Order: sequence, then C-alpha cells, then structure tokens
Amino acid sequence: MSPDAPLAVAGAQLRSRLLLGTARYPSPAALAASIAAAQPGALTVALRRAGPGGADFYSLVRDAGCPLLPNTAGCRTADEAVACAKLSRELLDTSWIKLEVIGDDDTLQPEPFGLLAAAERLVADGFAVWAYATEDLVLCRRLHEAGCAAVMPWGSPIGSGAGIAHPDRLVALRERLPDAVLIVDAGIGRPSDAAAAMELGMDAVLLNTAVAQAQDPPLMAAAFRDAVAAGRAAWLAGTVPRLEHAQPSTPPIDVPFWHAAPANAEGEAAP
Amino acid sequence: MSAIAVVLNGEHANADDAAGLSDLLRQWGYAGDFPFAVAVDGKLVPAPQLEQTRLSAGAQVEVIALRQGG
Repeated sequence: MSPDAPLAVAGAQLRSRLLLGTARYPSPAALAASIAAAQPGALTVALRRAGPGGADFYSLVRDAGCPLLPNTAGCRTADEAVACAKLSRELLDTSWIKLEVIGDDDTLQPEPFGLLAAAERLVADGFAVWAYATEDLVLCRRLHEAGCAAVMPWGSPIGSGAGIAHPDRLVALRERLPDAVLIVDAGIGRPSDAAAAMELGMDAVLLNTAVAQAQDPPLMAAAFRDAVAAGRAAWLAGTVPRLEHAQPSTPPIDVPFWHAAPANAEGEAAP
Repeated sequence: MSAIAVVLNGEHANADDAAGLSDLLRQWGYAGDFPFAVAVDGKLVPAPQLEQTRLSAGAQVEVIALRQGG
C-alpha cells in the first residue's frame, strides 16, 4: 500500500492523515499559514454563541480546501452533546461530529458512559461519529461496535503536550480492532509523538496546541505533516522488533585483523 | 402585538411577540454574512421554521456559529 494513499473515513477520502485544530493560534493569519503548510485531511471547529468576527473565521475555514469536523467541546452529558451535534448539522450541513463528552475538568478525560450513550443515539440518527476516548480497550471496542466512524484514543490529556503516555495500549487497540479507524486525538506535543503514533499503526493523528502555540506555527505545521507521513510509511514498511541485546549490523565474518592484539616492534604479541 | 423581553445569547433583548424569528434575527444584527443555527429553549429551530416561529416572554434564544476549536 502506498504511504500516500488517502484515509477512508466517514464516507470520505482524506488527503492527509494529519488532522488539525483551529484554536489558540496567535492570529488568523497564523492559522491560515499553518493550514497551508500542514495540508491537513480535516479541520476541527467548534460551535459557540455567534459574536464579532464570525464571518471572517467562517470564510477562512471555508476556503481552506479541506472538510470541516465540528466538535462538541464543552459538553458534559449525552443530552448536551446530542443537542450540540444537531446544531452543528444544521449549521454546516454535515453529518460529521467529533463527539466529546467531558467527565473531568482537570484531566478533560471523557465521561465514558455518556460518551457511549451519545454515540449510540447519534449513530442511530445518521451521524458519522468521531468519538474522543481514552485508550481503554473496552471503551474503544464498544464505541467501534456502536458504529462510530472513527475511534479517537487520546495520547495524553488535551493540551498537555505529554505525548503518547501508553504506547502499549495503542498497540493493543490496533491488534484487537484491526477494522476500526483509530485516530490519536489529544496530547501530541512534538512531531516525534505524531510519528510514534503512526508507527504503532494509528490511522491518523489530530492535534491543535502543538502547532498553534509553537514559536512558529506554520513551520511546526510542516514538521508535523512530514512526521505523520514518515510514521505512516514506517508502519507500512514494518518496523524491526526490539531486542534486549545488541546485534551487529555489520556482518562479523571476514574481519581482517582487529581482533588480534597489537604487535610490538619485534612482531610479538603484546602481553 | 406586544413587546416582550427575551434572552438572546445570555443577554437581555427586546422582541415583538407577533414577529417571526427570522425577522427578529435580522433586527438583532444577524445579517446572514455567516451561517448560524438557532435554538429556542434548548431546542434546534431548523432554518425553514424560523419564519413561522414566534417567541414568548422569557424565551431563551441561542444563535450559534462556527468558532475556533480543537
């Protein structure tokens, strides 16, 4: 399979496996330049009370040339999230919804029971649900079985930049849910984190703060674009297993003389 | 027709109980230069129903638009 093959998810073919958030940039210009550099597969957006600047932001993301994925950020119950999803469908004429049901204000981790209940209701109502979850295998399996278009385990808490806290759990998810679209959402701090997630077989990564709050957001966006592509290629290529000991990469046969002890002036081996 | 007080995006607003919601939204400055969705008392009002929707006193009107999000 070509590493450039698009990601099939929710009835679409995404051109990139890097999905980008649109919040926390220093300016609209920095956001636009970062989108241009990242060439993301989709952009996440939120729904809030209409206020000044709404028209400018709308035209910026509308003209970005990639699909919009609205989220339910700030929702704490299934009822709130379902209501928010219906508003976003009305607003954007899309059935896509990044489902967030937050259960704790400090960790911003999902409330798994409300999340699953909301996912089931939204799937039944025709939504393509992208469910923000922890990397808990059973929760992710239930979300997948509920018909979510994508299951999105976190790397670590939202905005923390702490990277992939439990790579073994992502490995287990990939092994146990081979047919699920798995997207690491949240916690990615550095391009190496994104590459690591992709090397573990994740289908895509979604990040925001790591680009938006970088010293140079467009340059960081390009770095993430390349890291995601490299990680994807590495997964397809098949990484070597880890070993507990060294293994010479240069063949040990036909070594000329380096194992011989240095000789002295008379040609005798040194003691 | 009579003047009533409603709540628009958490703020006090005046409305006319005989006016359609689409007209009220125009009066409140939503000119259609960006897409928005409207909920009244927590329930979505689909766009085709805005014209015929009438508000009652104390109605909670939310006008929702796209914003930056992750």
